[in-house]
Amino acid sequence: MSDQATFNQPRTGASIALRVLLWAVLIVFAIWFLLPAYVVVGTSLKGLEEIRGGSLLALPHELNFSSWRHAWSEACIGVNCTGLEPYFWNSVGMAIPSVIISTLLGALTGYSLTKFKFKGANLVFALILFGCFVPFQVVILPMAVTLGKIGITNTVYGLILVHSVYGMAFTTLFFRNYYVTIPDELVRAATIDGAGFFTIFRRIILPLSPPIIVVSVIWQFTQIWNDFLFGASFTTGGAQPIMVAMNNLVNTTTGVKQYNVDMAAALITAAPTIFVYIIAGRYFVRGLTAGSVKG
Amino acid sequence: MTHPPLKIADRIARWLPQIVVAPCFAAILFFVYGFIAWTAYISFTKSKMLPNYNLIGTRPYERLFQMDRWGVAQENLFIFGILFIAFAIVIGCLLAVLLDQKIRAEGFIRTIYLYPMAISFIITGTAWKWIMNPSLGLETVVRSWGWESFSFGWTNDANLAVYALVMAAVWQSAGFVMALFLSALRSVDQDIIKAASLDGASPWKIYMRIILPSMRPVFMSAIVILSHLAIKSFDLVVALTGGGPGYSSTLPANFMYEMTFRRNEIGIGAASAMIMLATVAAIMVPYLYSELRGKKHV
Amino acid sequence: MASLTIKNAVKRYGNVEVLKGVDIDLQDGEFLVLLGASGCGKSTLLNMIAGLESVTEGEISIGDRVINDVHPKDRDIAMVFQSYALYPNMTVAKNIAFGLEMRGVPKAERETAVLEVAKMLQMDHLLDRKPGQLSGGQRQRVAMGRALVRRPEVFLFDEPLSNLDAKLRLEMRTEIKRLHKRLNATMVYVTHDQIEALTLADRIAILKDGEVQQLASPAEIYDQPVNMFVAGLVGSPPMNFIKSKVTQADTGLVAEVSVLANGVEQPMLLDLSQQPADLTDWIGREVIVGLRPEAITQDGQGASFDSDIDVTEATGADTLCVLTWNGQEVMARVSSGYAQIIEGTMAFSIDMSRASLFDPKTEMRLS
Repeated sequence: MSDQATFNQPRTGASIALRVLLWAVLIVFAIWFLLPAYVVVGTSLKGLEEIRGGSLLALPHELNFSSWRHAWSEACIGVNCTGLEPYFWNSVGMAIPSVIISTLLGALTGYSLTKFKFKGANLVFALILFGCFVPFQVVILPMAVTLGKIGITNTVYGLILVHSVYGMAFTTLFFRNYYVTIPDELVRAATIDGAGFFTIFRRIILPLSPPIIVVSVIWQFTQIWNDFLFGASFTTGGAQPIMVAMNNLVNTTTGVKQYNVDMAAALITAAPTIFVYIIAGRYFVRGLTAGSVKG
Repeated sequence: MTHPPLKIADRIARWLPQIVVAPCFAAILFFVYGFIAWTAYISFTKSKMLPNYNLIGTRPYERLFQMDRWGVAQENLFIFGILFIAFAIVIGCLLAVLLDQKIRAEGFIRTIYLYPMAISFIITGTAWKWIMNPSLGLETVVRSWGWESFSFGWTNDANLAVYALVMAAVWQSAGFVMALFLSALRSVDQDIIKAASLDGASPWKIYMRIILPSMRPVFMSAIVILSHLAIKSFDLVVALTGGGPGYSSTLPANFMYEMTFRRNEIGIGAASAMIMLATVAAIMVPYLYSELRGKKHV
Repeated sequence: MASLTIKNAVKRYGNVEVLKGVDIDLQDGEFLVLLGASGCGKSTLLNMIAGLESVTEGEISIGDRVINDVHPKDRDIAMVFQSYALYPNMTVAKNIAFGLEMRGVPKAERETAVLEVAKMLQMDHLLDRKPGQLSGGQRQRVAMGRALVRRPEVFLFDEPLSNLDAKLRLEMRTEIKRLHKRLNATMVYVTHDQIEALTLADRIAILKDGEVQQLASPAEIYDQPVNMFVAGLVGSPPMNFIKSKVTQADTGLVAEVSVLANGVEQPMLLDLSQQPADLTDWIGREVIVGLRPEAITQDGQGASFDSDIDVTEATGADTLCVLTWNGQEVMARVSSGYAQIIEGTMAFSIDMSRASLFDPKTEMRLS
């Protein structure tokens, strides 16, 4: 923390004015950041009449959760009026295996690349790293063809494959940057003690890894849950993940526009990642910055 | 002297690291580099709805650059990219410096500023689209307060739709930039700050002359990451403006998707994807190169 | 227990030759110290013995078994690392037992062995702690215990004391010496600290730029350094090097220097008659006379002379006086009672039987 270097000097008039200004700016931005959340939650609790007649910013007259229920189990997505529920489970079924696979492979790859620096390891890492930054537009077309060839287009398996592969680049980066901070001497000591590659990983490295595993899992889960491009490109109809279904629900033009249901659907769709953010925000920030601070 | 041969198990063990890296590396080779090659190839063919493997030279690129839609997309990316990066960095940096002033509720405020990063662009777009609704959104509310000329229906105005994208994207990313800067601010050597204040530098001078200049690498990282985000932007357009009105707010990523999946112009789609890749590579490769080279560990 | 033979060991990384053909023959139970500045190749050599680095050329054998291609775990060695490399997630007991566990030693046997070693190193009360809860010295002991418990043929130490404070370092140094005596095991010890080397070693190998400069007992290294590098590396403060011309005097060969005494440069002749080397070829030529500070001491133990004292540095047991010879600084070591005077002129004496002569061009000892 900055010691002297703050505006927290003796309380002169000017310093108090500065302090007030500072808080004013912080609060204005807080309002800006919170506005969409407030509007979405508020609208989702209002009835349609209330939305049309009242102000966007007005508090709801009563807590009416019927739009939530409607969005979850009744709303029409395209021609299917099943609500978001089946799509929610699609996303869960897609995200959990992808997160596990990419984290596990990323951990092993990162471990190999840092603790057993074989010839070409740096080149391998550079090539994998670039995979993080490739715009996915350049791979969706061949991916669509490949998924078709394997016969897993429009299935959860196709999306698991896609997310595992492209997630691996990030998880490898995370684990590699974490493992370079673990001293090599630990691995050397264990080698002399007689432990092999996997034993060292399981007995020495893995017990030191929980922080980065949490970062990786949170990052991957958020990325996969929030993905829209792959879901929209490789699935249609009932196989879609929730993010695509939600967008379709909002953009379905038949009938009366039910803003409250749209907003409830947005809330339901965002809930898992927001939940993760609330319980593990600290690790969330670490994951976000890990991509920029390389070891 | 005896010279015992290496045990077979040891011989395999010696190759284990490579064997373990192999699946990940092979997958990346195939699914990233192989696919790039494939897309590159297709971008020189007359592929329409299905891939067609007859090369026709650079014709798809020529056609691409003749399309007004692509021109608009590129122009939009330029405007969007510059404004998005500039605002995200200025706001993120400002918030980081303000939060660094021993704010009592810092953790709480930081949580508020950063939560948009947990949310998908689709949700962000949906929420702001609703706020910008011309008849029921914020515009009506503010006008009812007496500010009759207030206009916030940006998504429905072909001249303003891009700025709606900028606003929502900044909303989503400013907190991330703030987190980046805040952690960098906190890692500045406190002895330097103490020395400077003993030398009589005011807090303002210390920030401008010592702390911010020392964070140049963080600025670089932020710019690179944000420009990468900008080039890949796709979902936000889909949810907020749908690329419209017309195609006034379309971005290259949306152009590519439109050509590939809706218009059966795979060749053009592939060509536009290659241009996107080239743009990203022009930014990322020098950055990654300097990052990896600078911190090589022996 | 076993001997250790290193035959023409070469290590190359690409085109860079880190070790340029090292030959060392170690008796069973001998304590070898590899001494040198960082980057001299001493740690690389140790890692090659351990099997953590491959041998580019040459042969390393333990006993009569060539171990170039033997996996580290099968070499029957143990190593103590500079950072101790304790497994942070395991208790002290598990840390010590890990090597035995990997070798399939039954649990009961492991526990007995751990307890025995812990008692030997007086750390049986620490067995249930994690490394994070230990002090530096305690961690060091655990690292030693981990090596001891396996009773290997060769112990390897990679600067094991350099992370300790001065007092602990002294204590552990004695402890290692005691262990060596007790186990009578073959040990190879890497350090850049010449005092550690002198106190611990049976023999010291001094490395520079991947080559062994001298492999000899501490006494020989100290008294008859083979070149100026070795002479300058060992001993604190280092040996004085004085450039001087060899001349024929009535009494025999001498080297002439000028000494500042009472503010005036006065000539002094250093007697070279006790030098074992044949110096007839050197008459009229310049040599480097190497004199350890303790060879220039208070009056009464050899040829006597007066000299001005520039500065004195009391070290407690004795006092270092800086003199000026040939315009250069020369260190003399006198007993602390003797040098009360901070400035002024004092009588000193030189023991020329302990002088070394070097060729100024090759920097090699004249013999």
